[in-house]
Amino acid sequence: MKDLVIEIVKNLVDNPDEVKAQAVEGEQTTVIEIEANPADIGKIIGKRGRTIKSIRTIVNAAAVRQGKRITVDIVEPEDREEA
Amino acid sequence: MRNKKEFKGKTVESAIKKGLKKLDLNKDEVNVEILDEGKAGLFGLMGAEPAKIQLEVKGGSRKKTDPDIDWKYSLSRAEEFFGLLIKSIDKEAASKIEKNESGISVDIKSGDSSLFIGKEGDTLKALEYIFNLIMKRDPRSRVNVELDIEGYKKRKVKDIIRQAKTIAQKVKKSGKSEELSPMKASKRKKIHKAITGIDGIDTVSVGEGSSRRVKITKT
Repeated sequence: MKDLVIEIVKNLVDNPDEVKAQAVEGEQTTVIEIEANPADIGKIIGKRGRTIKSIRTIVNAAAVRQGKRITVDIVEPEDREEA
Repeated sequence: MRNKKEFKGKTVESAIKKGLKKLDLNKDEVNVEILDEGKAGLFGLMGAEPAKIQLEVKGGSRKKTDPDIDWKYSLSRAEEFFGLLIKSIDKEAASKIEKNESGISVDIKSGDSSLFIGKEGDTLKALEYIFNLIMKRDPRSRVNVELDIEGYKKRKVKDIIRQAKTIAQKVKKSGKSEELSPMKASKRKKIHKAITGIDGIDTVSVGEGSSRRVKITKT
């Protein structure tokens, strides 16, 4: 599922090499955190959040068969270092 | 300049007409610049000079004739990316990707189409949105992509038209206008087309932006 997110996001940004994702598995929910160049964050979110919302919808459709809920979040590289 | 083109004609009017036809655009999609008004000449014969005009395509309204579009590339890109996308939702799903008049149409085949449709077509819409976004990032594949699964959208449109016709009959009887729920331009167009045939009924679009909707009135 992480790979699907990476594949979609890489195709949307100007700096595909900087796209990374990390999956944090919970019992029922998986959180996928996307990391990208700060200049690309806006592209991933899209106008009124439409792009990230669409990504979430697609990922959840893909997760139906696994019986899981997936949350997709965007983190900026700095956040990761602090955490 | 790629989006500026010159055209000649007997008169300015005919030159513009010719140009628009060639570019397959409407008048409001271009800026017209008259380069030479031309001369009719004596008895329309001697000394006649053609009118010369220049059409500049307004930003973002480039249509089918976009010279940058590489169809072969677009199709293979669609095949590659979309194949991967639908396989991640349903491993056994397949898609038929074809070129149509306005872009590329993708028909998904899956044993479980509800996976791709989602709640009220949400998933289908999301896939279509992301797919269009990705294709349009590259000028060579700046084409419109339409997604459907087992005729879902076509069926949906048919349902809406049927409902609209029922409402039209109601309006005809009561004489009271009714408004449909907001819809995209393409759907409104289909409704206008389907209903204008009904005697004594007229349709207009009212409202702005995303709340634009069809209003059915008695003539």
